Amino acid sequence: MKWILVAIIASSNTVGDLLNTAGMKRIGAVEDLSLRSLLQLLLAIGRSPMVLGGIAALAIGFFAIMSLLSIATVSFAIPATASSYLVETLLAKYILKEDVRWRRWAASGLVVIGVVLLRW
Amino acid sequence: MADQSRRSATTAPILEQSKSPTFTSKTHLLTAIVVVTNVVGNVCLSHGMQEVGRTISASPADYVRALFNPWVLAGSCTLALWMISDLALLSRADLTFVLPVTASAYVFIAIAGHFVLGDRISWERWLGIIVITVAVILAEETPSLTSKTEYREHSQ
Repeated sequence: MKWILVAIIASSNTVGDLLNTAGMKRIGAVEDLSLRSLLQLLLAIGRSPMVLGGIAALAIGFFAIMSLLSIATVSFAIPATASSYLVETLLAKYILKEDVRWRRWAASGLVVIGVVLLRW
Repeated sequence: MADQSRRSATTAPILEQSKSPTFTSKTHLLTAIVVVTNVVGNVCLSHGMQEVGRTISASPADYVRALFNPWVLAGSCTLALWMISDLALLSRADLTFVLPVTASAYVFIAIAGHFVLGDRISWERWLGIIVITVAVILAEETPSLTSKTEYREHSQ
């Protein structure tokens, strides 16, 4: 049961992050965090099928994390879902056309190693 | 080829602008907000869900009931703020920048878990904390925005 939840969390996080990144790039750079621009941001999100889809995917992941946290400790739950980092880096390079060089590869690899170490 | 030049015309100004110190410092401030709301939200939620007990259910009613726990409610509200600030950050930075840099939340969650929830930190976990810190520093050194996907200038 634990690992089924982990698989659900990892895949919904990956899909959610990719959709949100692509959608937010289309909305345009948020310049400040005033109430007015936050409202504009919320309106823009409401009109963006990509970001709404991304949030829906993350919501599925969120409920799966809540379930996982109720049967496992936070020290199991959070590291177990970190496996998606490398997949997300690969997809960001080829789908989102981000400039991923050795520093970013090393950073995501080290995050996965570090998060697995945190499990102990 | 025509498509290529149209694309670079729409992405070039924001990519140029993203190298300015103001743009970068705003991105860093937003990153800090994302990390803090993530840590506070997760610690509250974790504490609350341990109080509520086992919840694996297809029924939304069980999750709504969990929200009556003040820790779960506080954690969920803080994570809603995290979601908004994370989206705002993704509007100005690459996913492959945001992911490793916001991973510093793991370090703070481990440390908060130690001091607030009383989790033990073994030497392996200290090593994990160091490794993630190195990852955060490596990612911090890369330019925050390189994505060549369609990018619209802020319309307002």
